[in-house]
Amino acid sequence: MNALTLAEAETPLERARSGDHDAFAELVERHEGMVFSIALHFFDDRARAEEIAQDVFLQLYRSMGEIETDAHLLFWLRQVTSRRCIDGVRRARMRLVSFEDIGEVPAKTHAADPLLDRKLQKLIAGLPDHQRIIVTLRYQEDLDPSEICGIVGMPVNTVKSHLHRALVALRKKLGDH
Amino acid sequence: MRKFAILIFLAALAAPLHAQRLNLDFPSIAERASESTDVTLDGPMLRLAAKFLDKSDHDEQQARDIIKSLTGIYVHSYEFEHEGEYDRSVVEKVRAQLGPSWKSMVTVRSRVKENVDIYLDMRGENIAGLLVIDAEPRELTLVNLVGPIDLDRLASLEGEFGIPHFSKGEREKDKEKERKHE
Amino acid sequence: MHLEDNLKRALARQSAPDGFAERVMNAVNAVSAEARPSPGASRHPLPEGEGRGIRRGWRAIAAGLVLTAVAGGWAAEKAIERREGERAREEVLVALHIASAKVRVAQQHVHEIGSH
Repeated sequence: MNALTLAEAETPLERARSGDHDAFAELVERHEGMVFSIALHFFDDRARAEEIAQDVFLQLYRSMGEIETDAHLLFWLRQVTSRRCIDGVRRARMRLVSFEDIGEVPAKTHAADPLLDRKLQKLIAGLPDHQRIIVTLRYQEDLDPSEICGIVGMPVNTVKSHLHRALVALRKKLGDH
Repeated sequence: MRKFAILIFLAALAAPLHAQRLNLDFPSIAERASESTDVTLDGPMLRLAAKFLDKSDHDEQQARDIIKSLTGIYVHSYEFEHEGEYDRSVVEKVRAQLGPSWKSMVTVRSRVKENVDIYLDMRGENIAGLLVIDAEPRELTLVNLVGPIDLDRLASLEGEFGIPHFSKGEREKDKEKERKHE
Repeated sequence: MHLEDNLKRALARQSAPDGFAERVMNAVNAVSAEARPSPGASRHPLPEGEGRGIRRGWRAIAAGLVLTAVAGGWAAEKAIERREGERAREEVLVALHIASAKVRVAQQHVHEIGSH
């Protein structure tokens, strides 16, 4: 085995693909925050987010053979988490706070207002399913509509339209014209 | 028979020492509601919840401190499609359960909006329970916190939720705290 | 502040709960143990005279299964407790949020009366 092949074989992804559990654990630790946060921002429910995240990583374990590169792994995790969120919402229990329940929030806000963060999270949790996952991928993962469309399996213009409608709805609720 | 009488006497003596849990469960109201939120957490569930509240999050730490001394949290909140869709006599049914130790702290009456009543279960100097009744035309919320409640902590939690503090003195104290943090 | 900046802050990545990776790895280990062929599951018959060895083998498998069941039961119980704990936590936050919002309404009214 030459030096290059050895170096390649030493990446956690390669080792995980060949059945190394420690390497797989390393991948879980590296990406758990991203997967958990997508589900958390979608459901606004920590227990449910953890359940979804666990399922995603179990599915990853079973599908390790399909993962080709680190970039592919990232794409795969975002896609599977998004799909599981959308599928899981059908079984979701009734949301405790509906979109209309959130009171008006003043437009002028402090730079790090935890109350505003919480209100925004609840407002996002009240958006329609596709808008919710698109907003999460756009602002949590900082992805462009052209990147999001591949993850959610929609034309880029549909993604843009969902994003636009979500922002209009959030602005309306926040009085941020 | 004598032993039985003594037991009853002791039980009667002991009863006032325990905070009172009120019955806020009205299934007929829940059936008519378009949205409902029911939270029923007794002592063991509160202890379990406390373990899962994030100590590094200020709000959650405050919540943890509040529930530490509580033995129950009961919240029933109902929303209705139309005005007058719930039987207002339930409010009286809740009030009827209040013993002599319960004192009315605040009563807000509004013709068009909310009617809020806050009662405290006072055992001497100590607060042993809290009841909030918010009866609005399309919403009914009943909150019962059972156990010693530190109102300062509750007020500081409200401050953290962006709720203004009550007294001028309290506001001044908070401004002083903010200055220290800066 | 611009809505998009607020959204980025509100939707910032959060840490997974403590011990998350460990729980995933426990589940992964359970899955890979299931997938691994059991030593007693050989399709080839063993020669005569090895009965005692087979019985010993079966005892070992049975003991392993009992241990796995006990460990699995314990892990399942812990998972249920954790799920209930997270749910209780959410409910506490909702309940206190509702309670404080209602107290605020009353306080605001009293404050308005006091300022007149």
